[in-house]
Amino acid sequence: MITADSHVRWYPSLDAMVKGAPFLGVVADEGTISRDGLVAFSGERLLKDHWFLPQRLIVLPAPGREADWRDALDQCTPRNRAVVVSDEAGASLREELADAAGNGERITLGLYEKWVEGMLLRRWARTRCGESPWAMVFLGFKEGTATSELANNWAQALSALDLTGISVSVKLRGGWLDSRAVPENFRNASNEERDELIIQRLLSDTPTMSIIFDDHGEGLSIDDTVVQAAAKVAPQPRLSLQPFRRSQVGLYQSLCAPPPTRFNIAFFVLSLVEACVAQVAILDERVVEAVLERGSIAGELHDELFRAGIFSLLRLNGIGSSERVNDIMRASILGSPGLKREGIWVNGDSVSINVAVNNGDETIALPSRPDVLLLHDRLVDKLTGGRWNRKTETTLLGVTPSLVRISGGGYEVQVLGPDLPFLDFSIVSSTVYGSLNKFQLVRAAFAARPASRSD
Amino acid sequence: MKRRQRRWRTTPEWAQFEAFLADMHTLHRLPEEEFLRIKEACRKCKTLEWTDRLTLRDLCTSCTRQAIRDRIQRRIRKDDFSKFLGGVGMLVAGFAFADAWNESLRFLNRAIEPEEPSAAEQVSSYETKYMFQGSLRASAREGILDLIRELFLIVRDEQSKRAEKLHARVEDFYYMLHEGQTGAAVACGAPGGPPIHYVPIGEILFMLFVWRFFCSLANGRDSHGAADQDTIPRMVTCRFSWAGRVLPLEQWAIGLQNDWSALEGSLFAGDEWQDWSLELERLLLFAEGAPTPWLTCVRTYLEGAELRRGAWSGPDARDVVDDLAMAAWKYVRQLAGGDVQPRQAVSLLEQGAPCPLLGVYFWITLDRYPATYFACPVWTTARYSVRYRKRTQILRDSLLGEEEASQARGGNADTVIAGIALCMTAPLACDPTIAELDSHSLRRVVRRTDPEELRDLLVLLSRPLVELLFYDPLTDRLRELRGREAMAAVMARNLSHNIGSHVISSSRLHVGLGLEGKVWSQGLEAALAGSTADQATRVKLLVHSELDRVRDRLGTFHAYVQARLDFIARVLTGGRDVAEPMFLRKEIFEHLLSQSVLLGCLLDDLDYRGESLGFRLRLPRGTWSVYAHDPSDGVFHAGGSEPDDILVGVPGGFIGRHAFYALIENILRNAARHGASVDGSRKLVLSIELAESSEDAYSLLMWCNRRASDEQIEKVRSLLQGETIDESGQLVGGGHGLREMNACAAFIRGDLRVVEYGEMQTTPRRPLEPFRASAEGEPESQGAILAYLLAVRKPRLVGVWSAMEARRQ
Repeated sequence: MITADSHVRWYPSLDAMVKGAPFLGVVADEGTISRDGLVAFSGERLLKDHWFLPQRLIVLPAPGREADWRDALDQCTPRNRAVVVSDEAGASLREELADAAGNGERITLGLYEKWVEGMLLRRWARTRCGESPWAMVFLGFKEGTATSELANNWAQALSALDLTGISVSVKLRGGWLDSRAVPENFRNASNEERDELIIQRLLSDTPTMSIIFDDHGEGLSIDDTVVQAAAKVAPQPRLSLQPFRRSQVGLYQSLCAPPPTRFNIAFFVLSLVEACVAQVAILDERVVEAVLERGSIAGELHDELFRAGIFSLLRLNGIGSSERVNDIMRASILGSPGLKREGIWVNGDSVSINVAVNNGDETIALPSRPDVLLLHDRLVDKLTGGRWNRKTETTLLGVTPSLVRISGGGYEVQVLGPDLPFLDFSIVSSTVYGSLNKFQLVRAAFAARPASRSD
Repeated sequence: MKRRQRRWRTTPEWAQFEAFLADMHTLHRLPEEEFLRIKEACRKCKTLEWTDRLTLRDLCTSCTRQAIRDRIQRRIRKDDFSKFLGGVGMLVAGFAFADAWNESLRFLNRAIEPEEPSAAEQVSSYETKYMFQGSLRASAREGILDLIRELFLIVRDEQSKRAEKLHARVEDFYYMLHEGQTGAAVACGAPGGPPIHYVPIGEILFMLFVWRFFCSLANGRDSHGAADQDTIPRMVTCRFSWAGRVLPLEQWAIGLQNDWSALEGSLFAGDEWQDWSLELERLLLFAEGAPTPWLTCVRTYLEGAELRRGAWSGPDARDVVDDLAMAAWKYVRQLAGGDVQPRQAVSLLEQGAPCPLLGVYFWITLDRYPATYFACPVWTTARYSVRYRKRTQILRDSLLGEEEASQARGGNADTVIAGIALCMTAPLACDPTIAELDSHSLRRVVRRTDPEELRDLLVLLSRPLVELLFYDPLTDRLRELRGREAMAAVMARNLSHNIGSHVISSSRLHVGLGLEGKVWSQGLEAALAGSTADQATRVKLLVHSELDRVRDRLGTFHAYVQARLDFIARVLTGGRDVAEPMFLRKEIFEHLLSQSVLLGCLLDDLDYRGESLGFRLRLPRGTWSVYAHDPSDGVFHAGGSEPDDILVGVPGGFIGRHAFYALIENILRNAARHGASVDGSRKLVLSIELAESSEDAYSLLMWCNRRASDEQIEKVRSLLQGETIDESGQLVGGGHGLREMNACAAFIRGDLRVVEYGEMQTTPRRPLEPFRASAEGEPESQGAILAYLLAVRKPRLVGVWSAMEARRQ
């Protein structure tokens, strides 16, 4: 007998789930669908409802069916649409779901953590992290910010944080505050040793994630060269560097005063890590202009965005005649032979996305599979000369599980298909180059939904 | 046309009817000869500048519609239509509605010659010839029917008020169906059909009106005196065969034993009757103090009809029926004079009845059983207003001359008009007297047709004309208004797009403002020309630092404005906004409190600056957090350790949160502008309290520490509950801030459904509910404050799809 909880809703069909629009969608496999049925489900049904289903989609396979689900989802478009929970983790989640009454918060956090971890794993071709915690968050506050009030806030929040897969360490004037999941070697290290451990971790070959929030770039003692070295493994970085400043109003306030209770702090941390793990590619001329405004293509903002996991794309190739987002960067592109393959490359049914990476010596293009691709409606029309169509959108789903239409004109559809989720440009401008806030950008992009259903 | 799912019992007729309807719809396509006729009509009506090269599209719509209406009328008058309706047992069918755009009334009518049914359809029966058949000239008959329908439009204000109290919709249907022997309540919903509401008084008043009118007509004078013995022969009469109708004599005897005058007191007591009487007086144009010989009978009928309509049984009900019978008899005796026997009274009633409906009612009354039913669903739509015409206009249009209409202006100015009325009469197959009549071997014309099917037929029949005469003009009007709205929407959307996403969000904006770049740096260099290097460095650092702060504040404000513009664009262009989980304190409330530029200027014209404001927030099971202004950065901070937060579902997430901000901005401005301080303090404090409400929602209560008079609160309530546009689609003036608040509350609420409604702090029924509350810590006698309540959704965090759930459901 399934029991209810205000956080957990049960739906008898995918249509009902689409209508309910939950934050996290769970496909609970009862083992009743055949293997072929799974392929059909993944290939047809998921594609049909793809745009309308929650972005965060998790499959809880029936016992022994994990591999079947993975194979089925591998064969379908969009790629990586859902995270498949392992058999063993699935069993415990299934048990909890069966008696959801009163357990809603725990279930929500458990599923949310699986989703975030799954996002990271799929980038590493499902190699198990094998480490716990699989993500470490380091927050550093500079002298002027780290007041006793802030220390109290974090001490209270971290004592309530009981996530096992994610650790949080906060550097304040008096030293470090740690959550329970912080490994012993970090916990027992002195301040100087701790800095060294962080650097070692950044430079090591671990598939786990390091996330750094550095107050005005002055909160942590990490050398730029280390950061650059760690970032070179892009576009599958194990580092997400998020500078935060007072001007990032929402993020700054949240980081200075995290919620103090168990569920809220865990939800907040998961949202933070999710935002850092997610990779966002953007094709928008205004973003490109902002990137170019502050220097060359390998300039300061570009690098800042890149380390945060935001890629500003310069070109759309293979559809239409014009390919560059902006003529201003002609010189930049032509001047960098390494950038020849930069941008979105469409060739019939195949597609690839290559992002510009500052390699220290030169700027090169490396392949990427972003979790979200944001497309400016008008720009796409301009670049493709009206040749954009629904098939192109489906093709792009082969390289990213989510396309989002961005515009400053509301839901009104211009060129891209009406089924594409919509995101207001003000979110993009304010969070990308207004004052970098990937936390808000990713949450807004994952919550984006289409204006209406075309069928 | 989509065929109904429900199978009709009279399938052959349905097929025929469907074909007929299809035919009706083709009438909208005018042939060439009709076009020439309309051109001629247009030339006469002079609404167009006439040229010979006019095309159909150029012709004036009223002439075109008139032509189509005529075509439909002609089609309806053809025999096959009559045959069809007669075939399903209808005796009279029609509809009428007020064509508000053209300030006139429209009719579709048809008196139907009863059709001899096939043997299979026959039940048993007697001949039921009705009014206007045989003895009356066809043209007069149609004219009278027109009048009936015209008069039928008038119903009471009380109908709408009563319906409002019951949460019923007058705009749906009302429908009266005597259930015969079952005595079941008549207010019921048809299975699978639209809701049906019986509105008890309207058609009765209608009949009274008709009665009175025809009395006047028969008297051949304009006065509205009652009918008398001399009048009856001159009245428009109906005759149907009374032969063979049997009433048990003993029942009449019981009635006759009672003393009429003794009954009168008990039957007519009560305040409600007084109201009815007044209403009648108004509607029936009584001269004050004039004798009303027929009114007592009608009163009796009204009371009886009300009782009959309810679930009644036992001796009391029988008494009522007997009383009715006697009342009718007495009435007839008064009219006809002499010794009229009860059995003759029925006959005389029918003979003297000026319209079929009244005859039917009396027939029902005296026969005890509903030998006939009367169905009159009144169909209006939400867009088709029922309230807006003045009584004087109605009277002028329908009955009176200009002079009399102007005299009547002192009366009730808001008499309700039903939008569309449909009516019909048909004999009822279950009439038990039919069984008695079987033995008399009388003619059989009663049909088995389901009354609901007849009602449906009427609704369908009305559609072509309704579409033509109401919806088409309405569409024209709405298109015009929508054009204006669309232009405003386009301009707002372009403002959002051009200014919001290209100017404000431009990475060159600060250069344009002079906050970056050469202009100011050259100026600074020039100013520091005579300074030492050390001094110059210090000054530059200071200036850079201040400029950074300016840029930050400006950037924060611009982001706020830009997001608001996006919010407006979203609202204008529509779409599905998913409720995104957001922390109420941190991500919604404190984000607003960090808007130093906004809060510093929002109430500046009312002499409130940032330091004059205060904010408080309380979450479920929490305590109040007090936010005070920090003069160093203009932002509001809460003191003490970090209080807890809560996730709420916000449609549209980071953009959608501007619905909260628009609400708060308006509340602050309204309180600052109209409210008096509760405690004598100049400080304006906004309190926001979130509380548990239901499984799906929280309730959010917001108020300022400002008193509001009862009148102010009532005005706010009235504005919030009023329409944004009037019946003709125009924007209602005034209260724009409140209307925006209402729209924002509706946006926040999203598709949340209200399950329960009871005490305050539960999910409000309306998007935004204002109410009177006592100021905190003070007795209510000290004055009231105006608080607003709205529903905020709880976040939907996890949704699980499982086959097990599908099986369970």
